[in-house]
Amino acid sequence: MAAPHEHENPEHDVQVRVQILSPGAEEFKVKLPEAAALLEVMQRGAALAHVALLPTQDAPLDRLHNILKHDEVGPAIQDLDQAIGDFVRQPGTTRDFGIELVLAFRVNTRWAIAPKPELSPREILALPEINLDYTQYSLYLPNSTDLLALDTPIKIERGMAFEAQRDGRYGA
Amino acid sequence: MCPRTAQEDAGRLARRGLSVTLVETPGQCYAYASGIEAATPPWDRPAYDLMIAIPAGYDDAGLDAFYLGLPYTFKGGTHPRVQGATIEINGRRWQLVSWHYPEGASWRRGQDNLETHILHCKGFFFHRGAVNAY
Amino acid sequence: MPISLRVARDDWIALRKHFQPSFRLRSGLETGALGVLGESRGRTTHELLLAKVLWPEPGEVEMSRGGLVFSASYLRRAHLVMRAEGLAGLVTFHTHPGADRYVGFSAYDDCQDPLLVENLVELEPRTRLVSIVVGKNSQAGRVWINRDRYEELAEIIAVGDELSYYPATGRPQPPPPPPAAVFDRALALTTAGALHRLSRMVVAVVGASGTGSLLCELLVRAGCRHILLIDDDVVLEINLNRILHATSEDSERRTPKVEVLRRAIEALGFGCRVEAIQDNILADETLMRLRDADLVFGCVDKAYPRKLLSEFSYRYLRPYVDVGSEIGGDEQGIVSLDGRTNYVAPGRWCLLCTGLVTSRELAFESLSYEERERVIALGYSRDLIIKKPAVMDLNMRSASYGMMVLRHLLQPFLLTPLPVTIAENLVTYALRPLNRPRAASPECRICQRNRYFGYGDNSAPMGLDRESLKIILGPNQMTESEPSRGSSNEDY
Repeated sequence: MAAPHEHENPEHDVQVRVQILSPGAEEFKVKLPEAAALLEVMQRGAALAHVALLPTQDAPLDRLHNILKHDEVGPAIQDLDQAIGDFVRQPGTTRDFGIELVLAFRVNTRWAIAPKPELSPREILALPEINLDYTQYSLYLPNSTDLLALDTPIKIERGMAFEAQRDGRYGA
Repeated sequence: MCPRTAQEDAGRLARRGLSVTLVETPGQCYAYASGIEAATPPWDRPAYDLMIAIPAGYDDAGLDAFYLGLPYTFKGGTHPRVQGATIEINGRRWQLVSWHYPEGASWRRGQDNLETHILHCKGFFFHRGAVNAY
Repeated sequence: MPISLRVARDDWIALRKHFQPSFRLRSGLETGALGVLGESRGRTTHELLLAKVLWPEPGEVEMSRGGLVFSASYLRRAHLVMRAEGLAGLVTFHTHPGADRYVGFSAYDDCQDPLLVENLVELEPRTRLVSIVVGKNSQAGRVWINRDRYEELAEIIAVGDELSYYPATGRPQPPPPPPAAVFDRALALTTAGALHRLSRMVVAVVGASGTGSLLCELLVRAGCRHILLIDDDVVLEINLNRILHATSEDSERRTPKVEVLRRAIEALGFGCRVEAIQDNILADETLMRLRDADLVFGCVDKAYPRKLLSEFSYRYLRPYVDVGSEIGGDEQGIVSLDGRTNYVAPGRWCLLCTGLVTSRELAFESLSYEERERVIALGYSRDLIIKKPAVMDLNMRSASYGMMVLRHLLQPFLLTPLPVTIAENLVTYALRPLNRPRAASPECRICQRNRYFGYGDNSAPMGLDRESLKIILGPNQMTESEPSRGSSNEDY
């Protein structure tokens, strides 16, 4: 077990380091109560790096990784609710964390992570998180009436928004 | 207090580089137009500032008359049409000028606006004939 | 609270014409159109207003015998307009070609509408969807509250040169109940259906003085059962000559005019309820009370209230009948005794275009009190502050014409369309319809190019806030005691 850090309350606070996982990103030191959730590490790190977690900071699609020995980036931490204190006491973990900013985008109010940098409207609508029938919905950029061609790839940018409009059907 | 249409007019004039701003006093909106050309002589200086009362119903409601920024001299004395009440706005004194649209040439709803009224007021300084557009 | 849809009559006629091809053949194609909606939420009424019909462009509606598809691009176009303008919702109209006097939504419609609602609300949460299915001589509508719930539309009210009420239940209107015996002699002019309609209407009367008091009497004796009466003034001795039911005791007590009439009308025992509002119509809060009225009578003699009532008519798609009378004279005596009635509604000219309200009068009345006093002191506004003479016998004539306009709107009987102005000059025995507006402006922002036509509550306030009203009216809130320099609801 690592010795308590100077200025930490030996029973309550944990100091960690967090950075955005991108080349040259600044590393921040963050001190949090040991009972604080790992989500808070992510939130504080993003705030210090002036980056918005998407879609919201309370339920981000972005991922938190533990940076292991030799700067190896561990897998995405699944349970962000777990307490920092408990996490860093697990064998093999460190106090270094990295935030992966994913290629999150939305269609109407539905958020998804783009599996590749370019997607066609057909592919976008078919994503499980979007789940809209391309025969009944058309895709547009916000405030635009220009229909996005069904099979023409579009470069997806983080935070990008699309609007899917349904046909209106009536009949006997 | 200043009607939306007056704000639009003033904004449009300001974007063209003309010095017109709206002044809200408790209870009444005015348009402040500075640097209105005057003939010298008989006026004592080549440019004057005006205040124009903007009624709440503008621009369906027309504009009429204006206030002249004091002091002034006309032919070494006073002008007979500068005869109305004197008020103080933002620490400066202004006097109401009896300058109206003549019969047969009244305010034209949908055509006249703050800009045309300023042009109309400019005619006062040039004995009714405006030399240049404002 | 039932929800109705108000449309400009011109739009309703255009829509019906657009739908006609559906009904020419028994196996015609379904067709349709979209519109954007404003909203009017009064204390007792809730209405959606058809602000604009967005006609389909080529390819935007796929028509077939069994159905119709509004393309996503058409819906998008409409929805973006709604969102950009801050409006309340969208309306879809579609036809059922086989339907005549009865029409209803199909099971397919029932499945599809919720999906469309869900989509539109996901894009913009405040979107209200109204869907209307149209038969040859019927229509049914529903207002979707969310994807799981809707309310049936009560009726469609078409306002314009005529005033028409269409049931939105998909069935013909049931026959009206027989009218009370007291109206028996009126049936030749106003049939049972029209009488029944009048008995269910809320009629606003703005101004409770000379013509206003007479109109209230005419309304109740014609069968109106709910009057919304607005005036901020009190009875004084100098107006006893013309306020019906006002007594000397009322003038001693300075009884509010609206109270005098409420007392008298309710005492008649006709079951007519008078909501007496002692307030100034220029106040936005008071102006908005008119949302609960089906029709507005203007019995004021001031430019600013008339201008606001005109604007209200176009913004809220309400019929507005303005009545007034004037006695004109010179050094030799009386030159005119004029009674006048104007009918303002979508598709018709406003009171500025008719020339009844001038820019000069409007400017005078909408300056602050202090500024107005300075203008008066210049001496060029004497004509605007002269106390106008008024007598009940002359007021009766214009009140009568106003009532006739209402009867005609409910049950057309006039042989020619309503003119711009009905004007009567008693000294020449001349009653003349004036068909041309005296000061028409094709770009008029009130009646021709109104940016907020049908927007209702989804637009900036029209009236004054209380502070501004106080500043404009000045200390002389009650204007009978001296020549009017403000904009009370006084009718001369």
